[in-house]
Amino acid sequence: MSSSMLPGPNRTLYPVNVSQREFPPNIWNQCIDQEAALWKAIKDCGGIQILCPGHKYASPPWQKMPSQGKRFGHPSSIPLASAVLGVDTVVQSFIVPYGYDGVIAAPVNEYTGMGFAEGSGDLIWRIRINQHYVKDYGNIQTTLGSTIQPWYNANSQILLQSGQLVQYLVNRSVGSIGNLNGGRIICGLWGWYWPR
Amino acid sequence: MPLNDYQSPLSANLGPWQNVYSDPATAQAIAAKFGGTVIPRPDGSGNYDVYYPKPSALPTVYTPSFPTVTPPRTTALAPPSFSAAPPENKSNQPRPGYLRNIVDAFSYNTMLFPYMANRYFPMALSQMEILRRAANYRARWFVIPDDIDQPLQPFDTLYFQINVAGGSYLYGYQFTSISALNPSGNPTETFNTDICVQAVDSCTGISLFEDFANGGGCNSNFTSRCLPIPLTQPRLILEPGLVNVQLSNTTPNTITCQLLMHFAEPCKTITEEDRQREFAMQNRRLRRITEAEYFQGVRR
Repeated sequence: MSSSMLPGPNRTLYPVNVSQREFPPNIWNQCIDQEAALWKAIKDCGGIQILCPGHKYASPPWQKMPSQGKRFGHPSSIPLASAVLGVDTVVQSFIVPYGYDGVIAAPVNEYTGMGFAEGSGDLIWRIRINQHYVKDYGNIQTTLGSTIQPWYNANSQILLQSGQLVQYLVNRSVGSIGNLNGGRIICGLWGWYWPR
Repeated sequence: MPLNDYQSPLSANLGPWQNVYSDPATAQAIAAKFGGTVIPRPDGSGNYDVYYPKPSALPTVYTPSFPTVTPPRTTALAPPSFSAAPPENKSNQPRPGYLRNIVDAFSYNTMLFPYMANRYFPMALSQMEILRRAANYRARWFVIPDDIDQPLQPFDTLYFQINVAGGSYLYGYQFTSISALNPSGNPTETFNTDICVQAVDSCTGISLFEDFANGGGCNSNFTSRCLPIPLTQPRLILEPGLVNVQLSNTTPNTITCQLLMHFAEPCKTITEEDRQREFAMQNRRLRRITEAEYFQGVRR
C-alpha cells in the first residue's frame, strides 16, 4: 500500500505479505470445512482405528504376546557352498499369516564354519520385508545372537503386518574365498503373531 | 455432495451434465428438481439418463449422440428440450455438475492425450475441483530429505518427518533418484526403482500407500508427462500436521534422491479487526505488566 493512500474504512483488509490472500472463504471452503469437521470428529472419538472392527488389546501386543497370540520361530540354515558369491541368497522366508500382525522379537544370524572375521564383510546378512530392507538390518556384517541365546532386545522389535513376505538373506562376498571354510550359515527369527 | 456423482469438467464442457439412474422414479425426481429431462438408455440396460441444459450464460448447441445400440432402435428418440435454463443454486451447496475446468498451475501435463475423458489424470484432477476453487489456500511443497546431498546408505531407510500446517491437503507427489555411488565409491547409474517410498499421516496412522511403493511408480517427469502425480483425492492432514516419510534404499549403492510432496496449505485471513484486537490484547498485557512493576516493584 502506498503511503500516499488514505487508510480505508474500518475492517479493511491490508495484506500483511504477498502470500496472504484477500479472498474471503467461499462455498468451496465450506465443503472443505465440512470434511475437516468430520475428520476432526473421528479424531476426537479416538481415531479411525477405534471405529474399525477388530481386537482391542489392553496393552500393545508387540510388547507382550496376547492370549490369542501365536508364537513363531524360524531357524534355518544353508551350507556355505550354497551361498552364491556376490548374490543375496535366501536362507529363510515366510509370509505373515493373513489377518495376523506380528513382531520379530529376536533375530539370529551366525556362521558355524571357520575363518569368519566379524565385520569383515565376508558375510552380510539382511532382513527384508516385501521389497524393502528393515532399518538397521539391511547390512549386518557381524554375528547377531546365537541359537542358544537369541539376540533379544525389546527395543529392536520389528513390526510385521498381515501378508508381508519376510526374508532373511545372506550375501557371501567374492573376497571371502579362502577365508571361510565349511560350516553352515544360520538365520533365525523368533517372535509372535496376534489376530487383528 | 460427493464428487464422483458428476462428470469431469472437461467432459462437462462438451455437453450438458448427464447422470445415470437405474430407478425411473429417482430419475424423474432428480429431473423435476433441477429442470432436466429423463431419457431411457437405448442400450437396453434399463437405466435412465438425466440431461441438464447448460446455464443460459453458456449457450451451446448440443446434439446428443448415442452409441450403437443392439438390437437397433426402431423408433426415433426424441431429443431433449433445452429451452429452460437450470435453476439457480439457491442452496448453500455447490453444484459440481456445472464446474468448468479452470486453468491454473495445479498440475501440468505436456500432452493433450491424458486430458481425454476416462483417463486417470482428468479424473484425479476432477477430484481436486473443490480444493482448487477454495479461497485462501496456497501451495507448499516439501522436499524429503530437505538436504539433497544427504545420501541414503546401502540398504538403509531414511526416516523423515515433515510438519505441515494443520488442515493442509496433500494432493500430489513426485520422486526422483539423482545420483549414486557404488560400494567402491565410484559414481554409478541409479534408477528410481532403487528406492521404495512410504508416507504415513502421524495423526491417524494411515499410510499413503499400503506398503512401500516402488520409486519408479512415483517418478514424474516429462517422460511420464504428469507433474505431479495427483492423488485420487486430496488427503487431509489434521493437527498437528505431521507426516512421517520413509525412503528405503534397496541397493548396495549410496544414493541421493528426493521426494517432493505437494500440499495445499490454508492461509488465515487477517482482517483489520483481528489486528486491532491483537493490538488491544498486547496493550492490555503490557499495561498489566507496567502496573505490576509500578505497584509491586516486580521486574519481569
